[in-house]
Amino acid sequence: MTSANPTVNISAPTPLDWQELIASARDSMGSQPAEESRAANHRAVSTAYYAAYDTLCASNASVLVTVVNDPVSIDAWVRVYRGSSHGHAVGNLKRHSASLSPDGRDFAAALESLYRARLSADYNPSIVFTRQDAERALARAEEAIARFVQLPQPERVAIATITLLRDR
Amino acid sequence: MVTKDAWRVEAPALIRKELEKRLPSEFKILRMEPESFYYEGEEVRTVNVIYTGADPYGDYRLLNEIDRDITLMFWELDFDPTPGFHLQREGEQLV
Repeated sequence: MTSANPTVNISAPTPLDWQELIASARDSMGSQPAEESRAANHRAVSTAYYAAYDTLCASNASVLVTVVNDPVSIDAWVRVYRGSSHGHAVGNLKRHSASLSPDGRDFAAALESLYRARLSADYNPSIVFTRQDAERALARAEEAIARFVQLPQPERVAIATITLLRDR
Repeated sequence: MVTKDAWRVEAPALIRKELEKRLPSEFKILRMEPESFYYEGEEVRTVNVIYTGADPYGDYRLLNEIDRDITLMFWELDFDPTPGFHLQREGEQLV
């Protein structure tokens, strides 16, 4: 017999933690020279970009859908989180970078640089990323994200609209 | 916009100037090799900087600041797509 008032399980969206992503990439690279692996280096470069992009997506959702407490708002949050595309987000942030604060502009530049590195790491067999390249990319992502999450709410709202909406 | 092949001449010169100005003088650039490939119709431009001498990775923060400043400079100069640079020590080839 089913309950007349079934319990509705509402679980709020929980995006990946950017610091854990970066830490996992560092762990996968190891620390000894003998452990160096080109595959791990390339995955780490890719993760550096992904940590920044995922932080952007989560920020977009959090600043545009501020109350998340029922299935409708959860669905809205996830829709915004998934709403951007890589090329549009990176390109439009570049085009609108003059309107951003220095930290916002730094994030935009880091995102583009990390995106380019990620494409090379994943799709260009002619390039070799060393452990130092990977560590540099992770440091770049770490610093840019740390500044980005401190940006005032109005600027993060502006960045959300820039990275989600098409210019007309 | 700096399109087609002009970037292959202009971007390496600008990157070289910035790296030589800001990295220790023991860091020596031997060659600049621009290359690009396409991913889903999008051109990805990279200038491979072949170097010898001092290790430029001693200070990630400085290297990343240089990378940021070069990116912003290319934005101002309307390079589209924006070229990046990749450091490669002379003699280290594909593994």
